[in-house]
Amino acid sequence: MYNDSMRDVTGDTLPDRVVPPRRRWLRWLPLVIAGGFFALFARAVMVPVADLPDSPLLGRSAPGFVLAPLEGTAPVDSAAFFGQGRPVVLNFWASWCTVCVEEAADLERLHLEDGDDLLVLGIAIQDSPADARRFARRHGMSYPILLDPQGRSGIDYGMLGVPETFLIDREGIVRHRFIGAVTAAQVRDALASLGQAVSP
Amino acid sequence: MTVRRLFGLGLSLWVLLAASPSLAVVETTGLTVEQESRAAALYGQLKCPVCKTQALGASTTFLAEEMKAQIRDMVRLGASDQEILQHYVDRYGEWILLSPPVHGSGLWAWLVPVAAALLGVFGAVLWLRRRAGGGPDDATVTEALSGDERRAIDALVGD
Repeated sequence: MYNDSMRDVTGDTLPDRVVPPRRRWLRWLPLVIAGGFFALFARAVMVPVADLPDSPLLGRSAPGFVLAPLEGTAPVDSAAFFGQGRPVVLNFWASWCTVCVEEAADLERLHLEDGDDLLVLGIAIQDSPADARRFARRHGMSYPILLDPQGRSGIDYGMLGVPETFLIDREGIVRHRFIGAVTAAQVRDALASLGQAVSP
Repeated sequence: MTVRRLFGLGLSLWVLLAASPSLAVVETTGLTVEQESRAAALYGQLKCPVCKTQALGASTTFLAEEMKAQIRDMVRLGASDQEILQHYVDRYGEWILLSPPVHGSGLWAWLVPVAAALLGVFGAVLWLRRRAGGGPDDATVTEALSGDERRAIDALVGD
């Protein structure tokens, strides 16, 4: 009939606090709770790229722009090709962008093979005309290219970086966003899923 | 009469000069000091679209710099803070705002710190009360024991 709690009260020498073994896990409870809180908070604040919600532009009319062409002088108004019966593959790129090299050939192939059914349109973002021209020649880009030295057309499309490509349907509605290098197959698949497939 | 006029002119000049810091135009941007600080506050409420986890104001990437220039333009043209933030939400989505939304999974970011603080206070109070009531020195314990308690313990210990 002699137990720890009594010894404690009567003042016998004992360690400061005796924790019964079954309660020992409770010591870690604050740490576990804090860790749980931290994880919840981090989840709420961080937006991983893979989890980025779709562009809010999808399903809406493509934002318009008036930009200078790489070849020629008269400013080009996007109203001339949005909603004019042909889907538009709008590609934001830059000569200083290394990933843009990967997709240049595919975009050119789309232009050459499906050019009757769709329009491939490039916008060189924050580039000098000379650099953009050099890049376009080196990679044999023959589709029309516009220049946006400031890059505001990209901001209007909610651009995250270059390259980024938007698929605009025949009615001028934004249907798809491709982040990073795009392939001809991806564009064709997306068009097919819209029911606006290019003729084989 | 002329003296009073001169005084009035001097006074209005003084008022104008005293108020001039807020009217001063920052040469490089063409914004007033007040507009400039409004723009800077807006940089802190948006994320950099390229880096995604950083405030716009802390980023120097090409798009971030252009967004800052665009914000200054909108401020100069008289757009409200809400209009400017909405401009980017319309194009990028709600995630472009640095403060998480007060709904959906973003709600956790607002609730968790409050819950953690409340739990911390609760825990601290509990701990302090236990310490105050549970750990007095031997003398006070002996004193606090009634004769009956002492006898009961003695009986048990002596058992």
